[in-house]
Amino acid sequence: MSEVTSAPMDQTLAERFVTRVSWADRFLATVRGKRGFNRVQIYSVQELLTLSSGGAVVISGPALAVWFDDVVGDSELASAIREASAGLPLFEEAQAVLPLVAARHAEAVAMAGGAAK
Amino acid sequence: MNGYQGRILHLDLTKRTFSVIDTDKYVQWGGGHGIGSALYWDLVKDKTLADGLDPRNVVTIMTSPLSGTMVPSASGRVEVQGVGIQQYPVNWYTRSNFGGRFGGQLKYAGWDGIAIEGKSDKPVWIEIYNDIVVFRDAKGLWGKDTQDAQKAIWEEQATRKPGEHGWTEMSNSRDGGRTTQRSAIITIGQAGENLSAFGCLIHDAGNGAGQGGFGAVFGGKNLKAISVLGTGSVEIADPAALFDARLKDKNEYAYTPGEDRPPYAFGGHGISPQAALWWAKSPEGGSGPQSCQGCINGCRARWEAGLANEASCQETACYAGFDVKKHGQGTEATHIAVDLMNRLGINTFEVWGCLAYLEALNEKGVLGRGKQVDTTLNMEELGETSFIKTFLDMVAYRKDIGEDLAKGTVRASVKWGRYKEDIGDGSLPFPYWGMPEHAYDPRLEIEWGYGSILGSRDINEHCFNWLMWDALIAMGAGKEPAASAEEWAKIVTDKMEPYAGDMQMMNYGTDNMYSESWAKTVAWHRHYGQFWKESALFCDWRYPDFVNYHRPDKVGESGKAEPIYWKAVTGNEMSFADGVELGRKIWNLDNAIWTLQGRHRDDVKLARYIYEHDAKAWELGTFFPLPVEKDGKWEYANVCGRKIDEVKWEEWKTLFYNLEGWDNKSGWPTRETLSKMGLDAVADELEKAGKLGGAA
Repeated sequence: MSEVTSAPMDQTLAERFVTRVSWADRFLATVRGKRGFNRVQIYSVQELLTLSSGGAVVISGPALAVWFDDVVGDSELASAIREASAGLPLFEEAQAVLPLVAARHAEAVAMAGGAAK
Repeated sequence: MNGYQGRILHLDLTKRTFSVIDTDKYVQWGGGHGIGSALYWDLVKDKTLADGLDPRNVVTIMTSPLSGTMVPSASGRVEVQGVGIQQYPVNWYTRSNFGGRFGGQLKYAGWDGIAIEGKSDKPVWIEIYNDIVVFRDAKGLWGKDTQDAQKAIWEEQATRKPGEHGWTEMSNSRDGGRTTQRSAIITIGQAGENLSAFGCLIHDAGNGAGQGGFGAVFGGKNLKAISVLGTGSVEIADPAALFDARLKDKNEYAYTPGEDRPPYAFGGHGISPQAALWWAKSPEGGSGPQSCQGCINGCRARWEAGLANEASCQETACYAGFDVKKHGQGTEATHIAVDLMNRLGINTFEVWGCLAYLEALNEKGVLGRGKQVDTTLNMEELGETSFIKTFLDMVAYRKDIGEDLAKGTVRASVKWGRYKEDIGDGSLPFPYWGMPEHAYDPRLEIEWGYGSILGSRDINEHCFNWLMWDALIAMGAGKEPAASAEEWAKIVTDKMEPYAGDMQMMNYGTDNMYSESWAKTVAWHRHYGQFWKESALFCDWRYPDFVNYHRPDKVGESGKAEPIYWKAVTGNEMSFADGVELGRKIWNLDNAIWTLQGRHRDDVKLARYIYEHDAKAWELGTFFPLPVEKDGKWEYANVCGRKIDEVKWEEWKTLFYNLEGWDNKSGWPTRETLSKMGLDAVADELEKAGKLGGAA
């Protein structure tokens, strides 16, 4: 599994990590039901992690990488996500990339000095 | 007339009288939607009518010859038509549809359908026992939810004394009537009573006619419910042929529980009986399968917990995403939400789109106490049971934000001064006629978007859509789809008479989406839908059967099955192509009604965001596989990331109007086209109104 080790998080990035994004910058994730799917609009990394905690989520690794690159501004994490999801079937990508996100988020929360907004 | 009962019940609520319309005159229209539109044409004199609450609005509830028979997936559907109140900017003449056992009971009572006009001066409900029709005071029912209202009617019917039209009066003779059934009831809840555009019709626990706002249309007529119990039967021309066809269908085209099936086949015809549940967690306890009358699929369930019974598909998804986002997994909040919507008689599709919009408004910072969209709703609770209870209470009783929403989400947006911005950026996800986006983006699944805006509503006809699901489920798991893209295109287009053989009709590539082939696809889809689905009333969940994995050659039974069933019941020859052609005639009549209501081709425009923003797939964020042909090679390609080019779309509309034989400058039907279908009287009325199209 990839790790995000190269760039320590700075205060600015940590703040962005725990801040809600605007409607225009939201991320689209998907909840998997018994048979079908359900689109969910994600406005923060914390929301993404909560959504994913029960395992009923489908996330495109490349799409999430773009979001971390363009919206959150964490290119290190974006690269790690791309690497971790490369070659995987779509339905397996969330499982591969979310631990990376969770670890990075914990780092950000610690640095930002509070719970995610 | 095999399959038909020969009588349509005509209710005048203003006078509280009823009369009988001979079905004979309307048999040429087949059934369901066809007869409904013909009745509307004959009964509504002022066809500029565009207010569903106008007492002159006629609502038809029609069965088909196949209703109440053993034709699988066609016995239990009922078509509802009239002018609605949900659309924007015009409330077009529109339709809805529901399943269950109402259609069968209506047939057994001796009726092919019901046409309702006028407005009662006080709340009433209608009771039909065979040929006995009684207008009853609904004072005791008004204010009850849909389940309590039905229970109250059943209780009353079961406890009446002799002479009061109770079950005890049913004849004891074999033919005169015994039944194990309780009456089938279609009713409205509080949303319909309070004239909310969210109001729908509910039958039994979860059969709903949602789109159009027909709950409010009933409410506007002071009509709480219609109850029907019949003890007759439906004459079948060739019962042996019907049962042979049914067995062949079951044995050769449908999976049985436990039978091996391709693991990634998702929808359509050749599937095992299973409930279509989109939520992440089912209600507690056991469940039993539930289906409409005569169906072999069982796409719904009834739960030991007594929650969310008979809910299926989108209803089960309506609140599930918000629930999981809040809790990380599905909870009872989703089931309670579905149950409440069915009880209050609320259209789950309108709720789905509305909640997505309210969430966006909240994120934009314009929703809340004292803000542009002034409401006490606490969006922090979105996903909780408390939130959905509060929100649905507001909608059903027109409290708080519910007052603005009573005319529909889009009209509320206009009132709030948000419409231009929000329809432009897509935060108001209502792409066609003020109706919420289905799960299928018009920029991607283009027959859905084109067909919806050329019609009167979200078409909600999955004909080709099931195949996308099959591909998506397989490819998402890293597997090959059970049918290749080329197989899909070949099998499907071979069946699309009279345009059969043009595989480009299934090429979803961006460079093909404004082609004449797509004009044929959309035309075929509308014509097939208007007859075989909306008039013969074959269920959208199982028809058409294009690609069928149970068959060695993967070729489904559509094209063969529908005419076989039709002939077995009615005794009449109706080829598949004949049915599609009759669908074209019905489609023309509907377009004539829309034309008289004021429609012009310049009105036929999708929401701004469809032209201005690239699509992100609703379902999987970035992945929406559809067949694409390039340089002779077919593949499932991800079509996300495109928008509809407005200039090319307008050019495509001209192609489409030409193909339909309509005036390509106005979109109005022409005399030449109408005459060929025997609709000279329709042409005369259009001409009189100055709305007959010129030569195509």
